[in-house]
Order: sequence, then structure tokens, then C-alpha cells
Amino acid sequence: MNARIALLLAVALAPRARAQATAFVSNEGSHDVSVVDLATRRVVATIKLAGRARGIHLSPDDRTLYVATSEDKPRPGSTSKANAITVIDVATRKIIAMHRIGSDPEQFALTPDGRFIYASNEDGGTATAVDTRTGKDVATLVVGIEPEGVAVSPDGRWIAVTAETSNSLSIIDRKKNKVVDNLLVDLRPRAAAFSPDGARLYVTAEISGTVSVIDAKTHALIKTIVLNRGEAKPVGVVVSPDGRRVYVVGGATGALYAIDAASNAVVATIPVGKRPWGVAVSADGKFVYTANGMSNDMAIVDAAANKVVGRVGVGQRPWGIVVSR
Amino acid sequence: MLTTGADAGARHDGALLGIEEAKHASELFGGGAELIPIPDPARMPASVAAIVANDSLETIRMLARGAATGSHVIMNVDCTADDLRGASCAPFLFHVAPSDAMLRDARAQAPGAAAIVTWDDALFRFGADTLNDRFRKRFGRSMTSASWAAWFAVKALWESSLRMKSTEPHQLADYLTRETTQFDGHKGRPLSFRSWDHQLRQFLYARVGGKLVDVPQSATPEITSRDFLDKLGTTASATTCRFHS
Repeated sequence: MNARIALLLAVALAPRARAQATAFVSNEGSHDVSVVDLATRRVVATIKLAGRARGIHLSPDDRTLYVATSEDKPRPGSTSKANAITVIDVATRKIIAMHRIGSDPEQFALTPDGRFIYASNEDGGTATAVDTRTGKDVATLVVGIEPEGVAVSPDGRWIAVTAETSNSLSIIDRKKNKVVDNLLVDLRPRAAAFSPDGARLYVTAEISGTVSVIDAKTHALIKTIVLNRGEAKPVGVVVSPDGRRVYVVGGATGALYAIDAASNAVVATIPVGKRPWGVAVSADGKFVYTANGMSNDMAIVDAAANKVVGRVGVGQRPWGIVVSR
Repeated sequence: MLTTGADAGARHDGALLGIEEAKHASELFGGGAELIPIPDPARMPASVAAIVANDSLETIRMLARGAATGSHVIMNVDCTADDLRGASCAPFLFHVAPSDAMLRDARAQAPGAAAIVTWDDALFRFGADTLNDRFRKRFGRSMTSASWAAWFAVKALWESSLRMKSTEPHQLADYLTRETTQFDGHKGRPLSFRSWDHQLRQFLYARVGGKLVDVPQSATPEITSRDFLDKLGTTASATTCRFHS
């Protein structure tokens, strides 16, 4: 009996095992997604899209890929079909839907149950929630001016939205369906990430060259981490699955910063390529991946050694990166 | 806002965009902001926290004398005269407009430039494209140096007010002059006001052969943004400004 159960489990797990070790890189220059097999470190497919590809996320089951696409030159009020969240079936690599969200979609987050997308609307000063099953807007909330980065808490209750002109962070309570707090942060906040336990919120500020560490429950500022004397241009941020490391990519400085989450100190500065904006970490925390916009590649970083151990050429001007579990 | 002087329309639109953004921010944080035209600088309405001044050297001197005890903060967005940053400097007077000294240095670092500008509609990095798009969508014309300066002046004021939770001019001036205070003007580097003459540190742009060139150019990684932007204009050691003499 026990042997049969084990066999059934093995069968049930097989599709997930196949989906492991794949990176998806959005390329804003070549309007596509590079699919990278991380075992062989090769591009195994390129998925052509209707526009400039930026924000990118996988569904919780790794079966669906969402990519924000837009026109190369945003036109206020444009009705171009390129302005969409494009939905891709990972198994067939085919586009299965395009959800219209605002005139220039860039960053968004997916709730942990995969049911809703929260997207920032840069020219509207709002964040929109979209039902992934229907593609319909279910809520639009006023946030800061020129909203950008969106993060969702691991329990799915809280959404954090950065805004670049007002230097603010808006916190949405999904239970109440409203913005419950607004905080001032450093200059030009680009991205946010919650720690896996939901206790901390990390916000990068591109012009200040800092990372704000915020208590996700009280919203108090715990610490401001200054990167490269404030001269880094941090954009993407991700937290390792065990919560011990925070990884930030430094844009124009070409560096990946590894931060110890306990001490909030930078423990390594790793040169990864030209203008890294996107960053992802493997499910086991052993590798960190960066999308390097001006060197048209992704870097593979050994998280224990804090050094680049591989590179894969991708499309033109890679922007974001996600890795399947 | 003083509504006379060159480029008054462009500056008015820049200030108005700034006020509209301040109103958006007040939806999140409370408070409020209003743009009040001041046709006659000799007749200043009461309860004005700050003035965006777009006028002559003489008028700004007069305003600065009138605000010597801190009745208002004055943002000079037009007059480039070095004298306002030197002998006629004042503790509540701040300069978003570049000084003549900065413009001279910029010309020397970019010889052959057709023009030195504070802003251009063709700028696109560091969110310059979104600011240009926002302005064009709102007013149907390009954001110019004049409109950028007025927009930035209002932004620096409302952001100071939010950070200090006050509209009191002494509080605003205190925040504007702190060593740690910096602002984002969509120019890619943190901008700040020099403590010795209240001049805004900022990039200028040289139009050379149909292209825009940052001035100053190409920082070495070792130099901080503050030191880098101080390559334009009067240094602390050379200033003739004495705020408290």
C-alpha cells in the first residue's frame, strides 16, 4: 500500500519536475521573451510578443506566464493592442489572452492564488486589479504619482505600490479593497518585495541609491541601506526563499548587491553586466539571475560564492526575469 | 506665483502641473495646495507660504528684502544673475534657475554648443519621458526649460512640506537647506540646494549638432553626485554670499 502511494506521488510530481529550472526573460528591445533552460544554460525558445516586454511573472503553478507589453513610445490615450498584459501558456509557449490594462503597462504583481493581477498605471496615478480568469478590471485605486513597482504579501492580503514622482509607497488592504496607508520613501522608488514571512518590505529608490527596509505590519522605517555611497541606481529587488538574503540590482553601476537580512548590511557587491534591472532567485536559493539590459544577457550568480558562474545571451534590452520553481 | 516676465505662460503651466501633483499627493497625505497669481509684487496676499518668482533682478531683490524674516520662501525660476546668489543672497531665497556662473562653466565645458538649456522635450532617461508626456498630455505643448523650472520649484516646495508636515516658511527653508535633503528632478542624479548660496545643483544640457549632451559630462565612479554637480557654478570657497551678516 505504501509503495503504491509513493508511486502515485511520483507520477503526480512528474510535470512539476519537468517545469523546473527554466528562466523567462522579457526583452523590451526585441519585443519577446527568451526561454532559458537553466540546466544547459541555453535559450530553448523565443516567444514573440506584440510590443516592448517589461514586467514578467509566473502563475503559482508555473503553468502560465504573464508579460506586460506596450508600445515603444507611449502615447497617452493610445488604443494600440500592444498595451496589454499578455498571457502565455508555458507548455505550448503560445499566447492565450491579452488583457488590456492602462495605456503603458510596465509593472504588476500576481496574487499567491493566481486569481488577480495588480498593475500600476503610470499616467493615471492608480493601481488596477484584474481578474486573471476574465481579464476584467475589478478595482481601481488612487495611489501615488507615476506609480511603478508592485508587490504582494505572501498571504495575499497586502499590495504595495511605489510611485516615482511622489516618492511614496501605497499599501492596499485587499480585505477592505482600499488604500489603508501611504508612506514617504526615498527618491524615485522603483520596486518593492516582501520577505517570505511577510514581516519586511524592501523598497529600492533609484535616485537616492538606497533600499528602505520597512516593517510590513507597522509600516515603520527600520533602516535605510545606502548602496555604493548613494551612487548606485537600484531597481529590481528579490528576497531569497529562506529570507536571509535580499538581492538588489544596481542599474547603471552594473552590480548585484547581496544584503544580509538580519543585519541589513551589504555583504557582497557582484559585477553582473550592463544595466541590470531584473533579478530572480532560484527556489532553493542557490542561484541568483539578473537581466542585463545593455549587455543583452542574463548572469547566473552562485549565491554562496557571490560570483558570476555563467552567462546566457538573450534578446535585445532584457528587462525582467522570472524562474520556475 | 508672479505672472510677469519672459516665458510667463510656460512657467505658469509648469507651476500648475506641480500644483496638480501636490493636490494628488494631498489626497494621500492630507493638506492642500493652490496656485495664486500675483500680478503686483508690491501687493502680496496674506497667508502665502511660498512664491514662485519669474521676474527681474530688481523685483526678486525687493521680494527677498520683504521676506528677510521668513514670511515666505521665494523660488527664483528665471533670473540668472550671479548677484542674487552673491551679494544680494537672502536666507529665504532659493534658485532653481541656473546662475550665470553655471551657464558660463557649461559653455566652457561644451564648446560649440548652440544653446545651454535646463530641460528639453527630447530628454527620456530617468523618467524624463514620462514627465514630458505628462506635460504634453495636460497642456498640448512641449515642456521647456521655463516650465520645468517652475514645475520643479513647486515640487520641491510640496515635497518639503510633506516631509516636514508643515507649510511654515522657516520649516520649509530648514528642510531645503539640510545637508541630507535631495530631490528628484527626472535628471538621473539627486538634486539639492547649495548651502552657501541656495543655488540648485543640477545637470544642464548642451544642444550640439542636433543632439543633447549632459553638462557636466561623464562622472568618474569615485565622485559623488554632489561634488560632480558642483563642477558648475560658484564654489563654497568663492562665494560672496553672507546670509547672516
